[in-house]
Amino acid sequence: MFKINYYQKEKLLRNFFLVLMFAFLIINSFPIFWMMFSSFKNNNDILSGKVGFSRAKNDVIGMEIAGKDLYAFSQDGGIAKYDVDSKRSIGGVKINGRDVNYYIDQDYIYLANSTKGLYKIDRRSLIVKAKASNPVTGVDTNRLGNTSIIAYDDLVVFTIELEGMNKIFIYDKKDLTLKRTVRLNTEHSSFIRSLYVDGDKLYIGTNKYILVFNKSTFIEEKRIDLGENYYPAGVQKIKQIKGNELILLVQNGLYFINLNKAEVERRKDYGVNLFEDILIEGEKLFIVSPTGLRIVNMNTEKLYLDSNNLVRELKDGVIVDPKSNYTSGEATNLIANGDELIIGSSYGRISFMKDLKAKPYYSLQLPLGHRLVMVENYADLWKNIDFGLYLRNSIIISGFTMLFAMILATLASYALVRFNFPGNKAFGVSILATQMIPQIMYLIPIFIMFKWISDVSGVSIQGTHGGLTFIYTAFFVPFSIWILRSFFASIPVELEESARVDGCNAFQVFWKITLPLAIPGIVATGIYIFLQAWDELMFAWILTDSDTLTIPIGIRLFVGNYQNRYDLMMAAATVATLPVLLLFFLLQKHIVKGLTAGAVKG
Amino acid sequence: MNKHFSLIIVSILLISASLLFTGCGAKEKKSGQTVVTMWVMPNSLEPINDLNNILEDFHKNNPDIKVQITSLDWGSAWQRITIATMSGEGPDILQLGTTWVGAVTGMGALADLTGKVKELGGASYFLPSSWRYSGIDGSNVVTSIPWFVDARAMYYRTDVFNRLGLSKNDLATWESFQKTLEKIKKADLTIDGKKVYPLGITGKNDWNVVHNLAPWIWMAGGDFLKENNKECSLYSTEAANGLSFLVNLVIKGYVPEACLEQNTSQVENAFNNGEYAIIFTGSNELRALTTPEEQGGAANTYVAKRFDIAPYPEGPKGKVTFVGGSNLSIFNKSKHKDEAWEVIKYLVGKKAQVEYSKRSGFLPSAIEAFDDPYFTQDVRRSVYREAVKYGRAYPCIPEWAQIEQPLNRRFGIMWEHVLSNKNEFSYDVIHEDVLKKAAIEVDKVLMMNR
Amino acid sequence: MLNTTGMSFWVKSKYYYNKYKIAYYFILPTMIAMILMHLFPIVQGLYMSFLRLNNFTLNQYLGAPFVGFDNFYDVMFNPSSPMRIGIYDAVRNTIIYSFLVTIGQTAVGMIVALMLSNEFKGRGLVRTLFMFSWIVPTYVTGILWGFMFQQSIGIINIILVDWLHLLAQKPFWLVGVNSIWAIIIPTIWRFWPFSMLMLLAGIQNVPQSLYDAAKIDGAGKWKTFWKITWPMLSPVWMILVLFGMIYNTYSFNIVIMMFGNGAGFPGKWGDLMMTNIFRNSFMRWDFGAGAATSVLLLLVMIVIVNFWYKHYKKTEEIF
Repeated sequence: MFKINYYQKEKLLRNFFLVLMFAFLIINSFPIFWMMFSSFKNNNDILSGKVGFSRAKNDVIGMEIAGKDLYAFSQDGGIAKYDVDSKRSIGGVKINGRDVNYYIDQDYIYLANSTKGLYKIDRRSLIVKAKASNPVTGVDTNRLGNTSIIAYDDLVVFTIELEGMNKIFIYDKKDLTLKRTVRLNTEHSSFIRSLYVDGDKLYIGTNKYILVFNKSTFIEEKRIDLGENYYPAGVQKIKQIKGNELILLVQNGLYFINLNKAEVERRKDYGVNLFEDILIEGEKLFIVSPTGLRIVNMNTEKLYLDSNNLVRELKDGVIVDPKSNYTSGEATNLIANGDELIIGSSYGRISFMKDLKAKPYYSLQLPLGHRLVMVENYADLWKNIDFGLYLRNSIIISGFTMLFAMILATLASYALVRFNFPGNKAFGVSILATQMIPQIMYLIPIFIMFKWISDVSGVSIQGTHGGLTFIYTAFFVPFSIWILRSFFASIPVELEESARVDGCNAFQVFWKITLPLAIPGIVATGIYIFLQAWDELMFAWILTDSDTLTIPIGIRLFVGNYQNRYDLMMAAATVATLPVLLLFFLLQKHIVKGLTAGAVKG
Repeated sequence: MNKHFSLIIVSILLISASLLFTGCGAKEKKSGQTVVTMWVMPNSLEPINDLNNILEDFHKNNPDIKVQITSLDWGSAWQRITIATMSGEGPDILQLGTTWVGAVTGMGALADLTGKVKELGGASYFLPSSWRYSGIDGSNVVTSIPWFVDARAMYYRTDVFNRLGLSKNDLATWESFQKTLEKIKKADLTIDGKKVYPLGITGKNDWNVVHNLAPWIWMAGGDFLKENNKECSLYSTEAANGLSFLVNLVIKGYVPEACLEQNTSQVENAFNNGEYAIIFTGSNELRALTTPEEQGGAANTYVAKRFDIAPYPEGPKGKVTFVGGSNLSIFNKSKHKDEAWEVIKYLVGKKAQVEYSKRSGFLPSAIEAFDDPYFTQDVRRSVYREAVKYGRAYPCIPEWAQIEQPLNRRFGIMWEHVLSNKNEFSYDVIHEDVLKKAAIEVDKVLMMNR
Repeated sequence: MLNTTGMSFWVKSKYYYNKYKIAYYFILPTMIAMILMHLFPIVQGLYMSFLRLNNFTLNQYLGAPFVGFDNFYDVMFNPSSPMRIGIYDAVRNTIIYSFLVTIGQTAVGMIVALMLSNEFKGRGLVRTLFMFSWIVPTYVTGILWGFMFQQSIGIINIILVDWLHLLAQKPFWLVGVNSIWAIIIPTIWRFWPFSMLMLLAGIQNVPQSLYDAAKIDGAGKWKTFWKITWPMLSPVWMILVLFGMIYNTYSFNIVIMMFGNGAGFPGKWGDLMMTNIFRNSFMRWDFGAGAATSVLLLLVMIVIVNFWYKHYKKTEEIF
């Protein structure tokens, strides 16, 4: 048996308590940590109850064959290069981003994404040769959509989907410097989805028109109205069939366009069917949709492929169900290599098929996407709601409340402690009494009072900074007096008495002797008031205008608008907390000293 | 020691002061322009921007009117509107949820628009179900103009249905609906890595508990108030049948319990993410599922590519859906009533109606807007076109908003009860406990105001 | 001191005014603010409780019909008044809530303060970190805990059930009986550090000689705490309990932000007096009854505080 002496026992016990305390510290800090952690998460991760960060999707967005090389582009910004015969990986590069798109020519790959901008990458070595930042700034990244990019001659044309923007950006091919910006003359809500070049024409597909531009002067030559198309994603792909015929892929069908007449020649609607890609092989048209592959004769609309996995409701088309039969995931695009088809699908799967009725004979897997740590959430928060304004209003109102309440409370509590004037006791009790009144009782009367004051004085104070500051000052003064009272009581009276003997009058005594000594307590109280004013919700609800909204109201509005965006909600919560947290952290020693002076004295 | 301390305080004050004076206080207002203020709720993701975009044309045609929009959240809107009525200080134009129209009209806060509404073509210009909310039942005074309509329908997963060999017809009646749910439950599917539950409905923590239950009560033949709007008729076997049908779906395990804690948008989100085979919700869900993510939608989810819409399954007493939405009213104390009317007239015009529908996902209130290809050409949207025809609304009486409070509470407690003792919950509990108490409480409210 | 007996009121007033001129000047701004923003509104509020102020008479405000004590009768005795719907739940919840939160925040504060009263490395930092939860605004507290308390995706259930396997299945926090815990825990979390701070300062102020004397007498830790620390701290914790009671009874922000993001009904076990009054006033427009309930609450509060005040005076005299 061990025998432990008193000191050992004491030490053991102490360490035990220390461990307990640190454990509790972790538990207690956890909510704050979780709030900040969640603000960096992807909203889908939060909604599906995932604790960590998930990975970006690496769906195949496009493939290209050049000689023996197969280039595969994925949604997370990856480029993978494979040998098409041996199917072996022969290199790759990754530029993290979203809404990725690419264009590939003889020597270079032009990669665009909506977060970082444009990249020019050497095709053989996969080394980034030049880059340009995203020309669209100041917009919530969630509002930026698909990018489109195309390169020809010595130009790179880039555009990005954004409501009301309707612009294309033209870059120098060599070093990606922005040369000019062309504004398209279209409606507010047209989205530019695809670009295509042929001859000396640049075709720009929006969800309402195909705009035909001169490819070097950028002058609009023709405009082809697509009629009513209510899938807002617009034109997915533009391809050319013959010299004067274009084929457009939209989510639910095809448009055939005669360029000579500049009009839609025919339109084939396949119902609800989000198509992703088409491939033209002579007469055959391969249409890829998430639910499968459909092969039709483009002139006769006759089907070539039949399989027993058809989705029954479509009588005129064939769907190969990639899920159960050929590949896994959703097919996103397709290219042909000699007599074989290569199907790209979600989750970065690439399948090689020779016989369309059999399973793919080979599959490749692209590398996994990057972890989605959404630092953008904060930028998005700022762009989505006028958080800058709320922050500004909160700082102004809380700051001035602090100032006025400090002055009022200092004077009143000094008077209360040092002078035993008639009414002293009643005043003290009334201060305590104000704390007992439920604030909800004030709500309407104060609003009416405000109206009354502005009627009488002609100065409108409802919905101004001044009005709210006034209320907050009046509300937080009583408790401040309560705190400061004990602080003043702890300052020895003898000092004042000796000053008085020296001939100071009452005010001088206060100003020169007591006030300097009381500064720590006053300031600590001030910070306390600041925190209280920062926290106030009920009055700010009704007494603010659109210009004077404070952070709590901003957060409420935000919660009302975005019921589900927990990521942004937590980011907003973090932004509301951080300023006061920082303030406290910087001043904690003094705050603690000032606030506890009363407790020490008792 | 105090130096550094006071320094920070002084700098806080300086920052506040400088912010105050450098602030963007100046409002855009040209001389000679009339500013019309307008309060709206978050109907779309960017309430102010979206409305400003729609008003672009209006501002072009009426350069002397400037509409200034303030966005409120539904929670605080109650207070703001109440206090505005009380003090007479409010906006010129007010968005009101349809169920509030009776109450706010009753307060005498709204301007009489009876004469002006003729400019639009009168009642026949609007959907009958939403016109019901234009003024208090039984009076001909028009105080608010229907702006948009919210109707509910059933969303279901086509992939689940295809796999189980089910079709739209299997959702036609209550019986077949229940059988369908049973099938989906038995199949115990896991698709795209998610377990698919048969049905998703909301419980207590939603903001429209009553709206979600109303169609079931109506379809069973029950109603909230008697014909004369003076007495509650909830304590009836019909209403109990309707409610217990829905509650039984939960008890039988078609609805995951976690669902009952969530609100509508959470349930919609879970549906988009593949957790439920069927949900009942409004038309803004269709907009979400057909709008790309960058515009605030969910068109890129797995489910967005595999869903369809059907009307509510037909109950013993027919097919009914809840029709709500929002109206526009002019505040009684407004100094710019004519200008405000111009704004309202523009907003209920066909073009603005269709545009706003595209942005908010709600349905237009003007009948002619439904002729737009946006509604005629889309198979799924046309379900809603039908739904508004058999839609039903609450009576528009001043007491309605007050009645909703006890109902909200009572039904909220019912959901709590369902969750805590599933097994003891029966038809009798609904009839003798929930509905009886609810009826007594509603009667109390009605009696007090008589 | 001047003997004031026999002086006329005016003379007396003038005398005191001259003597305490500066004191009166000093309290004047506070007095004005308090009269404007406390006294006038509370008088209006009291008057409102005697009016039939509902949605039909709303625009008349104080001109609404005077009904005497009808509202009070409705709230307390009239079983057929809509005001009574759910008020028992609210009263019960408020009592449980304010009692448990006040005890909880003082107890947790005391325990941590005792732990922190020992010297160890990094004590200042630990204390600061503990204080952080007190800085988080209450509306954020409501949103944050509401977010964490969600049944299926909330982190609390993930930790309790998925990781630690403490419970067989995930409980509902925001629905049913548990919702009372869902509002108590965050409130304690938000407010205990303040108690800790005050108590810690108090503990450090207890003379070491008392402890030394106790040690010589052979008293254990437990006994030392109850015989010395606790009574010595009574001025501190009594104030904390008083203000805790007041603030927790009037708690609003955390609850309103937690359920349905401010639009929902907090539930049979989550509804408090303040949310109840809020609903009755602004959603059912029965301002008269709402004000009457507030007044009743105020009266109860005054009785409690008065009781406390007398007791406090007694304890203060002892030490």
